Amino acid sequence: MNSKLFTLIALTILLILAGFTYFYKLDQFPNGVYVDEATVGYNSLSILNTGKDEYGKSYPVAFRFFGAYTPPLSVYLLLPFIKFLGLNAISIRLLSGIATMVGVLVVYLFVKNMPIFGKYTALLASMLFAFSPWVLFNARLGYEVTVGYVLFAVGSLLIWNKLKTDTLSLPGLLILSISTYAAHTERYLVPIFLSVIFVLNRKTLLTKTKKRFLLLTLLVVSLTQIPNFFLLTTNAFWVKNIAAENANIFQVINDFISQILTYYSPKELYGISSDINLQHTMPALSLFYPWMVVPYLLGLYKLYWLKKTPAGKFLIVMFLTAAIPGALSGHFISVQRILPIIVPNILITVLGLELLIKRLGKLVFIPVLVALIIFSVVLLWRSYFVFLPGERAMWWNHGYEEIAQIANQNPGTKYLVDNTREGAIYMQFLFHLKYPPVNFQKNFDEEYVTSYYTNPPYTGNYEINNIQVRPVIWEKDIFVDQVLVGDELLLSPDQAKEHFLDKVIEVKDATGKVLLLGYKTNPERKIEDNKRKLRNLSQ
Amino acid sequence: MIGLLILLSTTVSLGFLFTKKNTFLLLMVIFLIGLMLVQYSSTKPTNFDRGKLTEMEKVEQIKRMNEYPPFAYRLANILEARQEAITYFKLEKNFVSIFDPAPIFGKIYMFLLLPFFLIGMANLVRDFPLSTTMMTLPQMALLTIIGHTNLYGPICLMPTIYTAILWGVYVSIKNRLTK
Repeated sequence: MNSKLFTLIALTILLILAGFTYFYKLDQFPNGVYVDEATVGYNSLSILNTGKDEYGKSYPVAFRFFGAYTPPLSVYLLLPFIKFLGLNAISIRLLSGIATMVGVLVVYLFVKNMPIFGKYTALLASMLFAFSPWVLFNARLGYEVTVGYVLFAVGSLLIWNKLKTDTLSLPGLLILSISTYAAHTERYLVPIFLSVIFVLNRKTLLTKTKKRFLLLTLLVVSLTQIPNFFLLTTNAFWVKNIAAENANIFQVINDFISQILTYYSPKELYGISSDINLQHTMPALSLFYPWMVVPYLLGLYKLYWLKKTPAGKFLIVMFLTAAIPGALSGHFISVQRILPIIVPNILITVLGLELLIKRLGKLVFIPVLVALIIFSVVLLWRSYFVFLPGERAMWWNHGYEEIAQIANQNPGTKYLVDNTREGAIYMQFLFHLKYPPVNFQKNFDEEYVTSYYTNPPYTGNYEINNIQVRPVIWEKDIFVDQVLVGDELLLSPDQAKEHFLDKVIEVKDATGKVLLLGYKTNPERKIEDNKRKLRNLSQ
Repeated sequence: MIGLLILLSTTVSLGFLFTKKNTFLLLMVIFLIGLMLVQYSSTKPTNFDRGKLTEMEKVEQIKRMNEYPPFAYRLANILEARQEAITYFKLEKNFVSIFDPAPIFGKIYMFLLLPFFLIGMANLVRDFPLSTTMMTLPQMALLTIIGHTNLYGPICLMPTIYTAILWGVYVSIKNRLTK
């Protein structure tokens, strides 16, 4: 068998296995539709049915959602999935899986096309990428971040391929430009990355013969940035850039240093993540497999000595710029803001593995690697398919689908869902009930839509069929005949006893932990009890 | 005393790098052993014994064993309850936790020294592989075994870090001058 055929077969098998891992029971793992996923999906449905988003804005260039003004690409890319599969967990998550499969090929091509790598490690790199915990995790979720980092990787690959001939790739620049419409991170990362690439290659890119081509290329790319230029003049562009709002420069520098060190820390990537939002990670496993820290450190060492080669320089730029937008975007660590670090990280790890192959010899290296891969697959299955449904159900908003179905089956009963701890939970009901977008858009007047990009006041309180979503007001709501829905912090057994509430709903996760409770009010008994207490007081 | 030990270790390490005299190497080993002893005595060692898990560890262990599907009960036992698995996961956690630059390079002036540390470390590994191994591996092995519950942090690694920074400064200046 010739090597090309072998590669083709191996790559096909790898893609099939990756696809199986990314699409297997997509609606059950994670076992809830997170509010960000529901929002992207519902807005896509809204565009599909009405040409407007949930607020009634026609084809926005940035989706307001809960005030995030998310770049719009994912919402538009989801349209065919929702058209043919309907609005559900599978249709909104498929896009990320497909994008990640493209990412597998991109990693393969990076290794093939960069002369700093050996001849036979491209497949290994693709495999490491395909089954890394962080990659798998993001391949199975339904919002914009995955498409963003894969598009960035595709654009970078095209730029690198053309940079070898001392020119910039127009398709590469166009894809990078499009990636700025995929996620917030890429919106800031692309200009930083391209500026550094340009400065480092200015001598070759600015020769007389190429100047005209470069100007033409930049003009074409600028045309694709017109929506972003428009957004630059509005509040909508700057919502995620906390650093820009902070007047204290020392605070900004300190925050930046602390965040950048955390994002690049091997402890963060291969050990315990500092991201306090447990929706971003899986239980008992780090972003990459812990054993990968050894080849990663060796890879960094090798990369340092390759720093003067064009490929080494390019990889260093990809790696070092990847976390800058994340480090500038807020006070908290959020690993979803640094997804573009995944591809350079894998490439660096492969450099380290090549060093290990050279030192240990294939006879020792291959059995060790096979053992590590088997062990890693077991750990991945354990964390994602065994622990995640139970331990992270609450973080994935598990339970709201059940509440929506119960409310739907009992149209005569009023439900009040408390949103004190999850302001945007109304979106769960819009999503699960497939509430007609045209009806929801009636909540917003023309003035609200006109001021869409100026960040008008936000509220998460809405009425959707027989479900009201707002904070519970105890002084009033117990005197209305309805079902109060909330978590255990809102509805304790003591409160139920005091206000004569009857438990009618209990939603648990796989470990038996109660996530949501529904209590039916008993206004007559409560009024009677109040009257009795007043009588006792007056006596 | 800890500061003095770190200072002396760093000085003799640099002395060895510049002169390549074995006397400095011997002194470096002695001071590093001293620091490792201080590290050991000031650390609350990680408990690997499955019979002495904390209450929280026990609750988590039982909860996780129950999360496995019935067909995987044997695997659940191997991965969650076996002494070997408990030891492995704790060692793994301790090992990866060594590589955390944030507490050491988190201040602005230390952050500015980070590039010199990286340059120094890369040059040390290439030019002095054996002595760099001696300066890092035993300390890393110790920290992997005893863990990081320590008031002073990874003090036994500090001489290596300072030596790498100073070596990085030296290499950078030398390269600049020879250009």
